[in-house]
Amino acid sequence: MVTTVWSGLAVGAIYAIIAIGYNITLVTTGILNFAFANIVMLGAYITLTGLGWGWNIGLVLVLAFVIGGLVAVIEERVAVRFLKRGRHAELITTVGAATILTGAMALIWTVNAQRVTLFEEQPMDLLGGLIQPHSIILIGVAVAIAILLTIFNRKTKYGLASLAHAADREATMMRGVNVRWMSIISFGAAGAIGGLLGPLVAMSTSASPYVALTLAVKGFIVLTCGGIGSQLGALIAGLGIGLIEAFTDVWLGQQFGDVAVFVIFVALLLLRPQGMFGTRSRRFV
Amino acid sequence: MSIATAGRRRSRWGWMLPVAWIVVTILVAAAPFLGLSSQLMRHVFLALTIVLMVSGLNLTFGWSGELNLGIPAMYAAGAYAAGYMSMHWVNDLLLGILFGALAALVIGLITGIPGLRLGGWMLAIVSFFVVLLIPNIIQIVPADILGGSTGLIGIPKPKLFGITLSTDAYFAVAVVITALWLAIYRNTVISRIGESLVTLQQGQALAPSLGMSRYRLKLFAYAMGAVPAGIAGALYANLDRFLGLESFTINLAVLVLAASIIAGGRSIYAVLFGAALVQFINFESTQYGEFGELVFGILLVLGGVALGGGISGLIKSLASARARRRAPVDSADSAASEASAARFDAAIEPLAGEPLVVEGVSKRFGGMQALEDVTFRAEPGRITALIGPNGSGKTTTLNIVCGFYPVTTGVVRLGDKTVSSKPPAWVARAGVARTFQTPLIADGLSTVETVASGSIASHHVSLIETVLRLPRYRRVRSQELVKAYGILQRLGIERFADEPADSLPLGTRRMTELARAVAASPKVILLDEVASGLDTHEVAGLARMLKAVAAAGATVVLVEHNFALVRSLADHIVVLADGQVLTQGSPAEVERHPEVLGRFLGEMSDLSGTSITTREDGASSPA
Repeated sequence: MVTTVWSGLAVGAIYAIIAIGYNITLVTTGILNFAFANIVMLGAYITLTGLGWGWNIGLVLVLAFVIGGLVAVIEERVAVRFLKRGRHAELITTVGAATILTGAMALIWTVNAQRVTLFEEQPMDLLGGLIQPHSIILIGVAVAIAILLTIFNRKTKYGLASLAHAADREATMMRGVNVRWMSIISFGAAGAIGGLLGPLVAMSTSASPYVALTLAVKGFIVLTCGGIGSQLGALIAGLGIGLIEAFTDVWLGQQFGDVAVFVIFVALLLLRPQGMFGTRSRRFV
Repeated sequence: MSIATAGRRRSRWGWMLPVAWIVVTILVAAAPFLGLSSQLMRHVFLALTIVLMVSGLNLTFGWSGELNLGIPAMYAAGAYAAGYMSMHWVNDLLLGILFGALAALVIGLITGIPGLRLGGWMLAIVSFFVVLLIPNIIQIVPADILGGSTGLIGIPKPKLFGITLSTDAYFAVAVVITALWLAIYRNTVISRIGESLVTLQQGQALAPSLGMSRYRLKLFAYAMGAVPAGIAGALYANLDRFLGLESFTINLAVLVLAASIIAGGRSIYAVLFGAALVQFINFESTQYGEFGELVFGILLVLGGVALGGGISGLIKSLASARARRRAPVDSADSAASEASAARFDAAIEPLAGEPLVVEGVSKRFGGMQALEDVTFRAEPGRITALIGPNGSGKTTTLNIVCGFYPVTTGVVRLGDKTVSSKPPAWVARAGVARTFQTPLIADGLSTVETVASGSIASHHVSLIETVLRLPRYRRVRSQELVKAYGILQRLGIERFADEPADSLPLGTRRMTELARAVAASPKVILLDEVASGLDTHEVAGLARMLKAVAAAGATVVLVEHNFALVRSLADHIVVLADGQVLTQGSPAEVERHPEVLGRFLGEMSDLSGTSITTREDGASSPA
């Protein structure tokens, strides 16, 4: 029972991390970076290869951080910058970017799942349930970045500028905020965080090119349930959906977890389209 | 060039299309008997299933702007339904296809439900998720029904009217079925139905203001888009006579999306090229590892960045460039028709106007009192103007009249019918037409088609009549176009009739919107700042048109900043300030009202509304 709670929270933390990554670019640029989960996986593969070559773990993580950010910036330059606004073209181009990354990873590292080990670990007993130490770190990291980013958005100049931009692009531009740089910075920052957390995520999921797609969709569902733009909403929805999945898996069987999530997701959307913590803007003609 | 000559030109070449269609279908269907290798035949067959799926995606995404990526789920539903049917009930290809299409339709509507309330990426991701759920759901169903994770084995050879089909014959049947569907698809989108669907992409206001229910249009698009996916599934089930879970993955969704992007979201014939290319890349990639995904990804990025219209858009823009080079002929033509404009001047049909009564209407948005106890009456045959400073509630009043907002208290009546708090599409069909502050014009329609779209809701023509181009469809269609062309002539903008309406200059787009509203033969016509952004010449044309519309019997309600224009046009002026009626009466009365003079006429009388709104427009959208 408690073990199920822990495993649900651990999976939920991963979903929350993906949703938080989406939120970073969504808040600043209004664009959902569907390829974010693929960048997380890329970070995992870089770590895997670096460690395989016997490099220092600190160096490898820095590399994952830098390359993750770099790939996201390239994506922003190529697949996002020149889009016409308001046609949902970003859905197609970022799905395209995700597909490119998936294909590239499958070519370089094969399609087979590979274990990622940052450190040796044994399941440990916590409040009467078993949990892997890396899961504790994952949950902690998800909580920490959700809180930090919420504070960052509310207290810092950059955070406020990005909130302003999400609300009204033209007005923000006229206030002298360089929205182009903001777009690059937010993609880069999200990508770097994703790359860095990749190996940690992959300790749970293993590194595999196709895991990214499942994570991407789940992350999006978490994002929507939590309310777009709300980092705390993403955290709570992520952990909640992780728990729902874990318990339906245990009670009803493996095949039902995703179905249950889907049903709850659609029901929530129909009742509260703006998500749990989102605000709805209304404007008509 | 008049509609009549355009019609003649079309009919002169009209016979070519069906003939070409029949010839190509026969050639492809007969290919195996002419020596097509079985390997190539398989590729063509798979490409055909992609063609079907892409046409389904085009209906939802390209035409309606609804990115429903659940195509593999509908495909799977069609495949499993047809497979199950031929194993356990009756083995007949046509019944199997019918049943498969039906199953796909059900799944398409289920995946579409979230899209009815949420737009954009919500629908995209929900439908993506449905695709991820396919294996789960098939494994939840007991394995002796759908085969579970091992797959559905033992589908018998397909029979048609009791005759077992050979591989070659089955191929030929599949070609014919795909060709038939393509003809249905083509006739559906190139029609009033296609023109209704594209209005969905202009936000929530346009379709209902034309009397069309967004809800029903979306349902139609989801249903119609699911059918070909189901047919494709049924065809696929009988190809290998085995269904495995690995055939229905998210990769298939990406592949179909890529094909649609390459071909163009609203493509018809280019779908064939898109599907063939994608099938080729997909096959090569399974031979050489995973590079197919790389290529699809690159195609999606390039196609999405260029999101114009894919191959089909490219061909169309080449064709229109060619047409422009021939422009001198056309302009001579239009000069001639301009000369004949006078003849049309009298030809505005009588409109059965009814009084619009706004009685004690109040509107609250949360804590903000937008309107308070607004009462006025707009008579048929007269022009009533609503004026007032920004934020005084003019547009809110219009939005309440046409049903976009429910009233908090009060009532709006059209004749003796209550229209307040009714759905906007209902209000529009009751006879209220309108224009918008920022013109809402669906992209991809010509000006004359845009104007004709104003009257789509007033004549119902069934899908079957449309697809088969039955006489009733042709009659309604030509009446609509002739009427639309006549209105354009009256406004003096018929030379733009065949141009894409959304690329016209702002003033002409406003006139087009006005024409579209008139085309609906409304009882009441609501105009939201219709003169802003027009030059003096256009304002004069507009004024003539409005007077003619009123003289024809309609009730004209005008929201306008330009006091000079209002004074010269309006029979009755209602002055709004802070959500209340400050005063109302004839222009002369209102002009003398001390508060009107003091509050805003005095400070604004030197600034015409036109110049103010032009500046606003310039800042927000460089048109």
